[in-house]
Amino acid sequence: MTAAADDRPTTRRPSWSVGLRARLTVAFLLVTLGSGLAAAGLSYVSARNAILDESQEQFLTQLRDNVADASSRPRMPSGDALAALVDQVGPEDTIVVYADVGIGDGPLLDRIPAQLRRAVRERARLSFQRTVESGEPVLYAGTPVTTSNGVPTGVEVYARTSLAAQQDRIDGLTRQAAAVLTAAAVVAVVVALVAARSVLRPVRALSRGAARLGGGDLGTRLPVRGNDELAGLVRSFNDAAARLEDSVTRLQREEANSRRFVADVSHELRTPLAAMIAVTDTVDDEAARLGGDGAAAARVLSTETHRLADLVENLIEISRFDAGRAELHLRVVDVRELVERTIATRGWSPVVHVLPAGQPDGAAPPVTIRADPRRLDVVVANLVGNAVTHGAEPITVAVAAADVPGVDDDCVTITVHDHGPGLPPEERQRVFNRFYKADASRGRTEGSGLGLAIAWENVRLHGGRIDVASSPGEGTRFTVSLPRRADA
Amino acid sequence: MTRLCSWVLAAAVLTVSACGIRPTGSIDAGPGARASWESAVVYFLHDGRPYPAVRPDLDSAGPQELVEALAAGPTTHEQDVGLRTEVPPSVRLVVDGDRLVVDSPGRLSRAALQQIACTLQRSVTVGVDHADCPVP
Repeated sequence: MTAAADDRPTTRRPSWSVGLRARLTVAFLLVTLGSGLAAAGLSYVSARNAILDESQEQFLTQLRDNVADASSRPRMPSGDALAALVDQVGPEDTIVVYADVGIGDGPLLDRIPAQLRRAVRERARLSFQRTVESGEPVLYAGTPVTTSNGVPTGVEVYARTSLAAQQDRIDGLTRQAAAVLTAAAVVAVVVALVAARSVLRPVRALSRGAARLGGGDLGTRLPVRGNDELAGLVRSFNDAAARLEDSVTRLQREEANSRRFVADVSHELRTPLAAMIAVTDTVDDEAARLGGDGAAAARVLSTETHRLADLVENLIEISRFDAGRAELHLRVVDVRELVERTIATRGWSPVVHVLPAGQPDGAAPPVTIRADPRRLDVVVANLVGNAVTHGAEPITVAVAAADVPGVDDDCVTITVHDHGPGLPPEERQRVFNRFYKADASRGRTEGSGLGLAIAWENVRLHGGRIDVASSPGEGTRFTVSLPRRADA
Repeated sequence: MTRLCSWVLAAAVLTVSACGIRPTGSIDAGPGARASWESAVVYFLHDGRPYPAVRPDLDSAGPQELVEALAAGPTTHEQDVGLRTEVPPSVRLVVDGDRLVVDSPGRLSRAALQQIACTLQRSVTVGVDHADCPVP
């Protein structure tokens, strides 16, 4: 019972709690990463577009302004004037194109995307185009130049600028977003672990509490923290434990009361019974002279009074066990000798054989043990008496020192074996119950019904145990195992 | 599960494609740049098609002078970039009531007519078919 209660939490708790913690962590992580990615992605895209739009807008405005500024010279643009326009527009990465011929940065003309040149020519509007040149993002813009009253001059101005700086800023944004996401993931994991802990701690405490309660510690109560569902669960657990403790305490009190009542009654009966036995013994002695029905009645009276006295003695004995007042008076005892004397004293020698038969010269080695001889005598007497009453001959009693190393290390066994009808399996353990009757139809027997129970309690007091083996053809075998070092 | 995978894949593709600075096509960004001056424009021929050339000194000139400028031909620099003219020096422009009459001793080529039409379209209403001038 205790072992089972201890095993259950240790085998089941870890996998369960790890599962919940892992689930919580994964869920937190997914939510955080999902929302973080969405937010970061959206803000990344808008920030990138803002950066690009801003730089492009600035670049295009500058191009327009430069053309206007450069053309502020009165005589423009013809011949050398076109070259002057180039100087004014900004010589670096700028080219003036007139009739497909570039003036200024020559090689630039070939790098301008054909699509952009076509668009500028055909739409006659300011246009721009982004390309990638050997891994570097580049912005090209081109515009036709018209006079202030809108007449096309045939002049086109193209400009190029690198977007590497913008690329760096955008990459910085990406790195920032990654760093923030990583930090958020770490925070999510920590929060998930804390949350899991806050959930799992009361659950674990409940599990331990339940195990303790199951193990018999009825005073187990758990501290109620907070006011959430788990606190409610803990409160319910405490209520249940309190009610269980109440019921068990009440039952124990009632049982103790009834046992004390039995003990009291037995004690009260003892004195009048002693007087009655004295009287019935006298009556018994006179029975022969009464003759007829009177003699029979006197014998019945005597027998039943003795049985009643035995019963009361047994009840008092049982009461001592129940009250925990049974005491052991240990001495070194030769078990074989004790068994033989018990059988001889009770007058069972003709029907009971002690195995192995003691040699007349006492050559058989003594089997000694530290035990209470009076109680051991009761055990043997009750077991053998039971065999004599309910079993059939041959009845044997074997005494052995089970020196087998291992389970029954250093034990002494007393085996009482009869060849009666045997016991059905379900009856075997119940034979030690008080007032157990093997045959329910048989209301009365010679015994008190307490003999085997008393034997059981006595053996237990010695730290030993009684095993019952029985099969229909073989009769019943009671084996008493007593530890040789009876320290109890 | 397959649907989930395809969603994840689509999201990944979108994410990757949304990263960095992507190349574009040519994008319209508004009207072109304007110079700060007004100028007359005459049309010479470039690859057989009318092509404008500024003549700031003719800004307030009449049609006759513009046609004379066409006959005078492109400047040295304009010749260097491949402009030429087909309008002969003998061409005269005669005002006949509300009409302008191009008077030439010989037969004018279609390109020459286009040159004249495109050059004059700014100052007068010209009824020349297929005047294939560059858009303003």
